[in-house]
Amino acid sequence: MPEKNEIKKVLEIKNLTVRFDVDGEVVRAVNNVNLSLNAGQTLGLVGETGAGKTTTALAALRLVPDPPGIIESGEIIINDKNIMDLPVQKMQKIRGDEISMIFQDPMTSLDPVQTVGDQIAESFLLHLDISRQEAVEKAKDMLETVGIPRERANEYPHQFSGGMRQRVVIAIALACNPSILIADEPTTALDVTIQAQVLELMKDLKAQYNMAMIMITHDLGIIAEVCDDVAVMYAGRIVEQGTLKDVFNHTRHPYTEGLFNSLPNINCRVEELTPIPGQMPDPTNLPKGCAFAPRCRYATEACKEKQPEEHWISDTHMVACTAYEQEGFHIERGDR
Amino acid sequence: MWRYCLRRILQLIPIIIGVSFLIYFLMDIAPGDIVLLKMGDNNMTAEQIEALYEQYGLNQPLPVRYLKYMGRLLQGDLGISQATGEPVMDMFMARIGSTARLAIASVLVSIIISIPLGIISAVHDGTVIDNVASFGTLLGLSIPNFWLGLVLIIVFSLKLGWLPSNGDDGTIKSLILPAITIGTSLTAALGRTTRSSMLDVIHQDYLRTVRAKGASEKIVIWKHALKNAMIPILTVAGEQFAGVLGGSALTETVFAWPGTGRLLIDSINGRDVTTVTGLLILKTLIGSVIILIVDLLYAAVDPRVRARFANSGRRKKK
Amino acid sequence: MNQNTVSSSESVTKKYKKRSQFAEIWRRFKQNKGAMVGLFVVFVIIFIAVFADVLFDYDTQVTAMDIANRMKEPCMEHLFGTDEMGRDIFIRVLYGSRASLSVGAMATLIGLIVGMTLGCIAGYFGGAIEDVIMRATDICGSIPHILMGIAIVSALGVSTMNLILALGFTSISSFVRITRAAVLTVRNQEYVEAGRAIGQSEAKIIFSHILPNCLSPIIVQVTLRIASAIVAASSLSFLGLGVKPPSPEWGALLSAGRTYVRTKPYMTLFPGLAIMVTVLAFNLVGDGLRDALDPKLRK
Repeated sequence: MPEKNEIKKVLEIKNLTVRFDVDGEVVRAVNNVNLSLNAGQTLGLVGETGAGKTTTALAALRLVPDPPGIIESGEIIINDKNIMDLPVQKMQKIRGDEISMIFQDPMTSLDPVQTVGDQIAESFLLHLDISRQEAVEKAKDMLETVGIPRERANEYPHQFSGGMRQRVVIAIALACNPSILIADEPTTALDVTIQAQVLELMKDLKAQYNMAMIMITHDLGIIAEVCDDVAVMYAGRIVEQGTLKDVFNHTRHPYTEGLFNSLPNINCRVEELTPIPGQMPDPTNLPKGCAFAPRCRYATEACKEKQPEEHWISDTHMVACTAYEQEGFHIERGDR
Repeated sequence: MWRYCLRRILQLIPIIIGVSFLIYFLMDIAPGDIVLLKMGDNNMTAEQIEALYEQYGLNQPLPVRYLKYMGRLLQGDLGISQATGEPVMDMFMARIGSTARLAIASVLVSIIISIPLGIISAVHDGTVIDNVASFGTLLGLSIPNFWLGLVLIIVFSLKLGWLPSNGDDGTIKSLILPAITIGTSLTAALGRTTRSSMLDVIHQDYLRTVRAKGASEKIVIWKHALKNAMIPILTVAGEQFAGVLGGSALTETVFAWPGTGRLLIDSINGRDVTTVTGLLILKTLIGSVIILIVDLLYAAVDPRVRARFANSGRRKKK
Repeated sequence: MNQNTVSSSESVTKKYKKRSQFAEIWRRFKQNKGAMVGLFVVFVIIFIAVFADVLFDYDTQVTAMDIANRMKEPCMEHLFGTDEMGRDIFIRVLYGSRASLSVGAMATLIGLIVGMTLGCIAGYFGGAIEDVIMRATDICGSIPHILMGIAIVSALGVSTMNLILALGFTSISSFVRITRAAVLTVRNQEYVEAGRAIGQSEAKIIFSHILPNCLSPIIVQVTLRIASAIVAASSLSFLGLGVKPPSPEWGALLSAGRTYVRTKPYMTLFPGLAIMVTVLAFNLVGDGLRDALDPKLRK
């Protein structure tokens, strides 16, 4: 039992490793990832496409498609239950009830031949012992909560715009008041103006429902706006993790620095962008040492030889970079 | 919606005209017209022959005769059979019942077996189950129907004596073998359609949403995936029904089934051109109409189709 | 990979790419065991059909009567038994591959040539000509194939040539549709635009740019069509509307055997098996080709 002042951990991912076996090749999607999430906390998971963010999230719901995906090792603990050991039926009870997920593309994530009302009501029917009428009523309430008039419950997804559909997806995810919400790039597929509205809605609902949230994105702006903590992923590993302030103002990992340098600076328009050279390594053929070393300007021979270990700079701030084993190493981006 | 139905019905008209003209034209060049048949061995004078042509209207040019024929067709008159002297329409009506029962039974066999088979095959894509099922459907597609009928007769009628080998006595028993014969090839085709249609939807994002809600695989596959995969399945099932209703000539012949298909073959063998023409046109017509009905049924299954064809402008799309 | 820039070495890369593309298709095809077995069977059947007259003497072994040996059950001497005229059914079935395969192949060839030409014209030029072609295709396609075959053969008279014509005619509509659909998808690709921009003639564009890029669905269709034409040919022969006896054709053999189905079931069994094996082999190859040519279709 958590002590009185201790904050309750709702999700803990320990040593998670996921691979995909595709056409005789092994894609190493997630490698030894550790994450934890407290009640009410918002964690941002940042990284390029293919860094393993979505796979990590799907693993938390045990929804990694199998085949080809295989969870090699790791524990995932949701509200003190290790879901890796649960039978399928128990896991189905947890999905949508304790942990929910919002997907990236609202255009494809709703069943095109069911009314949105029915799709929301399905969540209630799966987890609550209520009648169909009650479920439909609750679904309509839920629509209003996400800012859609309740009369539209009988319409089909194709009758809604992208932003409205994402609201429906949010309504489905929040229907049973889960303690954890994973949002996988919820605004990437939306117009910029709509993005802001949807983000605002999510922030409000998060507070209203007192949920913990993992916000997966490659947009550092969204992280800055909604997250308390940040984890930066690269090639299936977490390379830097800490509070928003730790990561944004006291950046330690060269990759995180690279992410910031490739952002346009609105205050200094003459400054040239410095993109990170090269590309993410092929996940079927990851280098022996640090996966970022081939693109890293601080890389040493040691970096190429061995996997970086976790260095804890403070109680909250972790960086996985071999360079910090040298005395006095620091990256160019100073503290801000 | 009504406007859409009307448009589809209107689109059918040129096809009907084209089809009926093509058949009429083909049958017109067929050897053995009614006058030659009447002539037989009698030595008729040129005048008598001319009179006969006059009597049957065969001295008029083809388009004129075709128009007259279609005019009578609209009144339900397909002419008088040269072989039996009965109106072709009456002969057709007397036998359509048997053919329809056979068609319904065959399509039922096909649907009951192929949809679960196709779904299981798709869900277990690439596994042994899928390979066995896929090979089975391919085998079913490769067996010539009439031969399967003969083999079934050899085994179940002649060797085991369980089921009758020919005729329609109105019982289920006499229906079993012909329905299985036709049903086998239909099952194979519909099973393949179901499999590929399910494979198309089975990796769709919306099924992941349903899983994330906590739904069981049963709900994911049988409720959400199947409903989305239904259109191609329905289309093929409808085409199959239309096909059996129109073209089960071979199986009907093998089982001496007193339906319209066997009537067609008998009429061809008897050089009964009027009956052949009438039957071919009717069968094609019925087939086209059924396919049209299936097309219209899409709307009942898929709101996307419904929306595309519903009167636009009633409610502005947001 | 698709963003190849135009360079002087384009033809070289193209050639290289083509060869490797073929190798890749062959590699995928080889992985499909069923398709490989099918391909082997197809080759064996083609071999038998081509060399049938070398293997057997038509007059003495295939059509000559031998009343003393009539209706013999299958035995070592007559693997499939003998028919009502004392002819060896095994030899007649093997010889029959000739009629069945050639009818299937010729009919498909007619459908292919006419259908591909019309489909190309419809897809490439569009407009009124497309409307006319597609309406005509709709009309022919809406008559059930077997009925159409029956109608044509009974109109033109029963002969092998007319059987081929009838089956060829019925397969035109599917080739028109498939070719048109394929042409439509490549018509507006950039390499076609490029051909037009450098002033190539329409014919050159169609033959060197468009057709090569829509071959996959057409090749698959050819294989599957041969299979269904073989079934259709035997069906019509079975009804007495195709190849006439005493020529050994599988449908005709079945039709003859049917008379004796009560007493000598083996007479109907073997010709049917021959049809089934042949058609299955072509279908296996067709399926394998489809998966190999377009891996997207599979997943």
